[in-house]
Amino acid sequence: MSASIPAPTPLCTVPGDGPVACPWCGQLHERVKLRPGDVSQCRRCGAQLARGFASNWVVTLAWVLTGLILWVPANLLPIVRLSQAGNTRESLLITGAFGLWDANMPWIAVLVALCGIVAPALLLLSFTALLGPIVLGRPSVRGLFLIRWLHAFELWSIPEVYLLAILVAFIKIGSLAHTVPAPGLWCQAGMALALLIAWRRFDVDAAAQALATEKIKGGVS
Amino acid sequence: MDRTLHCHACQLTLPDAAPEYDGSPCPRCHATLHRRFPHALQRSAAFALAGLIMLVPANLLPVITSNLFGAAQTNTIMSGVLALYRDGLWGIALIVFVASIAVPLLKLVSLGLFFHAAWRGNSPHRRGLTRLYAFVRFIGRWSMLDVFLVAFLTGAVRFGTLASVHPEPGVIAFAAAVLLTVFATESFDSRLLWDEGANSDSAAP
Repeated sequence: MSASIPAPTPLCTVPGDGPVACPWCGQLHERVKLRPGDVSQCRRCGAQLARGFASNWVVTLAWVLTGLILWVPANLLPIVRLSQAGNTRESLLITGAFGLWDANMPWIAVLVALCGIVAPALLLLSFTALLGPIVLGRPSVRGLFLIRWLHAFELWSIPEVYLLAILVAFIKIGSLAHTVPAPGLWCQAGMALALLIAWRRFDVDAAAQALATEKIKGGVS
Repeated sequence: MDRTLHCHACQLTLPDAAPEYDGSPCPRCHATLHRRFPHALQRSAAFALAGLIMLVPANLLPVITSNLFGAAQTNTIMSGVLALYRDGLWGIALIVFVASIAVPLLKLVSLGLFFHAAWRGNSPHRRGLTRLYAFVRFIGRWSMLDVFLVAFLTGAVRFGTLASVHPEPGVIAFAAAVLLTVFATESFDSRLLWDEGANSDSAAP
């Protein structure tokens, strides 16, 4: 895998400390050092480009691991207990997908499981695989291909929307059955929050730079 | 011509790349580099049109049937919102209305504005439109709320003949509409708003 990363060709100037383009409008900007709390904006379209943080990769990785750990009980523990006339039903996160599956809507069931459960896990695992080597001081280009998948995972990972849907369902059926939140719900909320913070803190360009730095330098005159 | 190549996967910027470099793999992460996403306008417009078409059955067909203590009720998205409002849950009604009805419409109207501006080129509102594009990309996913809601109610409310909830075909149409509009925003390239425009005959500088 590492051998297949080509050196930059003479067709382009060499990256590294060079200018950065705004992903939204393409405007080039010189790199600036951001202090904690600073936010850099595109001078042409006004999009937010980067954000300065006081702490480093370790803290981001800590949020990622928090999310990853919470993902397990969020999926194993019940999220809601419904009681009705002596019957009690405990629902898991996957219950929604099973419900649609049993109702003969397998594709929508897969979509629900993907967006609420699978994609967040894939995103958190990718973050771990990318940040782990950086934090351990052994950056390697081996995991770099994961960067290509981050955007897709992030696009379909919407645990916070699933969470809101559960809360809406809660209020909707609250008058019909005795409804009690269960521990899994808090774990899912924690996972969604940790994932959100990790994604905000994760600087894709800097991570790729940290992982690929040797190979890029190899091709530079 | 813009000689900048920017990798949308790893955010690598090649500030001065020759045009031949367009379409080759990123030297850092191997994702394919595109000066502009290929056929962004056509692809995005096709997805948007398909999403618009799917939005019709999504709103006309029922999405859910609730069978509660012998009283069966079948609701479309809009009648579900109105039922919540009548029950006094106007906050929840507002959330569902925004996520399921306002956001998809806002998305399609915005996409129409983007296509018009990108086709004409040099829109005076391109700064605002670029900000709107970022916003629409961010809120688009909240439309999945209704699909999740139907899914969760179907799975959680199962008390035999006493109380049960069933999904109806409208959910499939609505999920398809959400997916198609997400594909539409994802395949559009907001940098097109800053270009000369698809229909201008490469105007002299």
